[in-house]
Parts: sequence; structure tokens; C-alpha cells
Amino acid sequence: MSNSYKGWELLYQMPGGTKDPFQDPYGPTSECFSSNDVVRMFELGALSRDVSHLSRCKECRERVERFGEVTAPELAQSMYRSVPWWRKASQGFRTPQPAFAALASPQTLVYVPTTCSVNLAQGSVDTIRMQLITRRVDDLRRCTLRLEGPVTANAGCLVAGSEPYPWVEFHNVQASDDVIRELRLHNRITELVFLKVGETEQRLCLKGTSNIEFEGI
Amino acid sequence: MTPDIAQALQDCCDSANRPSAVKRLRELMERVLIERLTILSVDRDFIDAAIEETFLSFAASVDCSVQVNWLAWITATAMSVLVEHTGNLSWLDKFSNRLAAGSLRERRALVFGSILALDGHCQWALLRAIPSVLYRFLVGKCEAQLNERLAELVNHGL
Repeated sequence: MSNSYKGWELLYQMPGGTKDPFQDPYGPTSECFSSNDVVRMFELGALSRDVSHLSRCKECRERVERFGEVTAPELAQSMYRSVPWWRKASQGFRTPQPAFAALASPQTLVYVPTTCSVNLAQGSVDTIRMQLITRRVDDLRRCTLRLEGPVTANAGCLVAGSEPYPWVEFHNVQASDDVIRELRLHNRITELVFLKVGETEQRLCLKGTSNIEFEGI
Repeated sequence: MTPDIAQALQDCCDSANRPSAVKRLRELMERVLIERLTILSVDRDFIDAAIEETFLSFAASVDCSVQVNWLAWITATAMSVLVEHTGNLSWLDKFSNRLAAGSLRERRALVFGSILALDGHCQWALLRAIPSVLYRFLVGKCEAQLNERLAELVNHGL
């Protein structure tokens, strides 16, 4: 074993050295989010307890806002994976990546507090209401909001509220055939829904994903 | 550590499967690494480059020891590389210069390893101070704890 790694072994043996840097919460309180928590929230949507903590913790709010600004996992990954990592590395630091930069768009954290009712006869969904934890309220006012995936809606509207982050409502939501079929077999199902905010379908200025629970009526 | 990350780390020790195992590990960890590095920088190019260099050195060094906490190693190395690229090194080297062994990058990474073992409040305060050119933020409880932790490393004969 190389001597240069002796220090790391010592670090591992000390109290705290076995910490999982991604799983342990960090921030001013013991309830602050871990890195895994933040990534999970952006992929699957925020839960009530997450939003409750965010309302109390300025540091976690700032962290979530910054992470939303810097990353665009889905589009970024597809571009990123197209170049082998060893080749990309050999191109050196700060290699210009125009295609990557053009496709990247910020993310918003999505919170959907309630179960959505689906009219099984008509395939329509009651209003879907969601809170978006993002700094980009101006983009929400200026652009078109769409839902895609198991339900589709083309015209979300911003709802005025007194809370620090905006609420958005989608009316005239249509459920997919798959959702209706599943709800005929089960009382409730949970599906991942994609929110897209943009001037056009190709030019997004914000996006988000969240699990939403549906029930048939 | 999630079971899939643990399995990927285990697979990395098998030289026959290492390239694909390192790639798999990277895929599993990339988002959480980006999240942690976001505290230090919002420049996506800096973050991408830090992750790239970290996994290259991880692939080269995975033989050295299976005793090391590799999650902490990868995270601390990525933080060290990121700060090198952003250029705010004076505060970091004030601590890393106290360590005798290892390359400069390894010593810098060990400082981050120390930070990772502090409590959440200290981690947060220290990491927030890093993008700043001013060292004055590293005061009080956090600096004292970091000094104590580095002293432990030095006293263990690093």
C-alpha cells in the first residue's frame, strides 16, 4: 500500500471517520437535509416534512435554490454520457461544451400536497395544485407551464399566495390510458410527473419532476 | 451508504471489472457529489471538471487500500480539486501546510476529510466560507474543531 494513503486510513479510524458524507445531514440543525435528501427531493418531489423543514431553515432553502440553479440532470446526463469519461477527461480542464450548456436548464423542487382524483369515465383529473421551490418566479409568469407523463396539461397558472414560494394550478388535466387502466385495478397509484416551463417546447427555462398520487372516482 | 454504492465500491476492487465498475459508481454518485460541490461553487464547468479528475484518480488508486472510507475519499478529493480550480487556496493551505506527508492535493483533501467528520453545523459554516476570499469566516468553534482534528492527524504520525 502506498504511504500516501496512510492519512486516509487514520481518518477512517478516528471518531466520525466512518461518516457517510452523502447520508449525514449537514446544516445548523440535526433535521437539515443530507445530500441524498436533496437529490431525492429533486427526483421524486418534496414531502410535507421536507417543506415543513424548508419553511424553518434558511440555510436549507438557500441550498435547494442553488442546487436547482446549477444542475439539469436528465438533459445533462444524456449529453454527458455520449462522450466516454476517459476521453472527456483527456481533453483537459475547461473544455468548451456548447451543446451541454445550451441544453442545460435549471430545476425547481416540486411539492404536491394532496392526492389527485381521476374521473375514470372521462379520463379527466381534478385540479392539480403544486408549490414550486425556486427563485425563478419571473419565468413562471412569462412562460407556459406544462405537465407531461401519466397526465398532461398545457396551461398551468400562477396562484397568488402569501408564502415565500409560488403555487401553481393546472386545470383541464387529462390522464393517460395507462393511469385509467391501473386505477380500475387499484384504489390509488403513484406516478412520476414532469413539469416543463418554457417559451417553446424545445426551449425550457425551468423543469421539475415529482411523484403524484392518484385515486379513481 | 446505499447497497448499490457499496456493491459498486466492492466491484471496483476487482481489476477485471474495474472500468465498468468505476463508471457505474460514478453514475450512482454523480448527483450527490454535484449537490455537495454546489455548496462550494455554482459554476457547472468547475464542478464537472472536479468530478472528472476525482474519478480518474480514484480509478488509479483503488488498489492502494480497501480500508479507506472511499466515500469520504472521493468527496474530499472532489472538494479539493474544485477549490484548486476556483483558486481560493490561501485558507486551505493554511491548514494543509501543517500536514507533512502526501502530495499537496492529498494534504488539501485531508483537510476536507476533516471537515466531513465535523458536525453538520461546522461543516456548513466552513463550506460556506470556502468560496470567499476572506479567511475571516473561519473563526470560533469551526476553526477550533478543524484545528483539533488536524492535530489528531498530525499526532498520529502522518
